[in-house]
Amino acid sequence: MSTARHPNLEDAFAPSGRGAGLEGLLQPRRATQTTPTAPEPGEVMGEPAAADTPLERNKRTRRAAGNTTQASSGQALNVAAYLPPATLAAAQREKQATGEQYADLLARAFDDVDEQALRATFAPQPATSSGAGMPRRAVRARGAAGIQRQFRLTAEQRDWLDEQVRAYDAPSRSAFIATVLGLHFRTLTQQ
Amino acid sequence: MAITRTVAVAQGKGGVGKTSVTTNVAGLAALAGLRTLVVDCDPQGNVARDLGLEPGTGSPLLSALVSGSPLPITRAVRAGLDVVEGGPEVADLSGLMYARSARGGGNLAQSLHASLAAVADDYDLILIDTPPGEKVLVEAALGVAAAVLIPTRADDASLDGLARVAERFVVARETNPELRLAGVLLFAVGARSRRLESSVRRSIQSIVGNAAPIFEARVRHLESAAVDSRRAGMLAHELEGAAIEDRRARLAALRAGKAPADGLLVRNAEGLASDYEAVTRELLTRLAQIEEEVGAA
Ligand SMILES: Nc1ncnc2c1ncn2[C@@H]1O[C@H](COP(=O)(O)OP(=O)(O)OP(=O)(O)O)[C@@H](O)[C@H]1O
Ligand SMILES: [Mg+2]
Repeated sequence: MSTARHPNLEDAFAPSGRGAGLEGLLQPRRATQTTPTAPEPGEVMGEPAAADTPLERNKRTRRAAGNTTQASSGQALNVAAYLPPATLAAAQREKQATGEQYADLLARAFDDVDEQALRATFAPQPATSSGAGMPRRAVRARGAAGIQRQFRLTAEQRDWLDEQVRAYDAPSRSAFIATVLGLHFRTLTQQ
Repeated sequence: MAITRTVAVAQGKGGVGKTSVTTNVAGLAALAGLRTLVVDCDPQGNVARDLGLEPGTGSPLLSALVSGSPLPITRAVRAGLDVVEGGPEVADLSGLMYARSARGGGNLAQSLHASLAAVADDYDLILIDTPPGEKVLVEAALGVAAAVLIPTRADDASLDGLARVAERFVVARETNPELRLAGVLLFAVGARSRRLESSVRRSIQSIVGNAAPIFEARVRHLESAAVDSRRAGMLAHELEGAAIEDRRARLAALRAGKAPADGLLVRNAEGLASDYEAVTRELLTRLAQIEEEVGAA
């Protein structure tokens, strides 16, 4: 099935990619800030150890490298997804419990979900015709109303995500993410 | 003494958009990939409300500043966005710190400086929301910030508030010579009243002279979004998406012959979200400029 027949709903789910146009206006802070009362190394509150994911490390290395003017391909990108309340609540609990970033949680959820179930969610429902009227267009799961969350992905992770969106013929990244997490947490029916 | 990348949002008048601007700019900066921290120095604790958090007591911030223990940071309230929550007990700081500096101890600005310096390297941008009154709290914020952003409404009372920030600015510069004015920002102006807007711009110009730029960007008046925003704990760009979904659900209900559920008041938050995006762009650009100036000085 080609994706071209379907309207791209990315904009509806993640309107206008807010924030994307703001990147690079202010460079990340250089790691060595000289303030008169610079803290003792032991005093600095770092990220909790559990949050030290490859993604985070990669980000910090990039910042520490201090190469500021160009976006490198390893740069973390924000991908917005609208999560229905039940899914969001489950994801937040899991994130709290494991200390994982949303991106890692998503990767794990994807490994866990049943491929058939995922495929079925995005398959078109049979077109309905009511009486003599024009048959209604086939509808598919498009994701649902929800609260926006940002997933910080590397360019590679995002490309991978886009591949899955195409492979499953999901209408948007947002819908795909919401569905994967919904299946993983079994909150899909509560939407 | 200034902590770089730290912006105090201040105005002597209440209800001029300090908190709305703080939270929305912070949310967008985080979206743009900047590691962002919001510090709520206001006893009203409205930052939490805007971000959909349970309002706190302010007690953790109070004791961190009094005892010098690490700041109570609520992590990842959005991706890339952390918060230090305010609340009613923050009001006690004035008295406590006054007594302490009377005994020869440090003042509030020094405590705040030490607390923020300890975590500053973790953030690309730090925004401090301040209360409308509470002289000591505002002066502490100005005492550590690299820049101050002044939102104002168009009415005369709000413009008078500008004068009050200006006074505090002068005082703060004595201990924090690196402090700069990021600019003045028009808040809640009618989207179509261009004439009013230019007249207000002229009044502001006559008050601040060339000391600070008046932001090109402004935040339009949109009360429905403001109410939804605090009620639902969503920022303008989050409402933008939610309003689209809300509209869809409403239509679906009507088509199915059902009464639509009580949804959002706002029908379209796109304009407001764009305004905040433009404000954020201008602020970030201005901060980069200030950094260059201060670095070169
Ligand atoms: N775009 C808008 N248009 C109209 N009203 C708005 C808008 N955004 C926010 N408001 C309303 O303006 C009021 C003040 O906003 P806000 O709390 O951001 O100001 P403040 O300066 O932080 O107030 P305070 O001095 O009490 O801390 C609130 O009641 C809010 O609902
Ligand atoms: Mg406020």
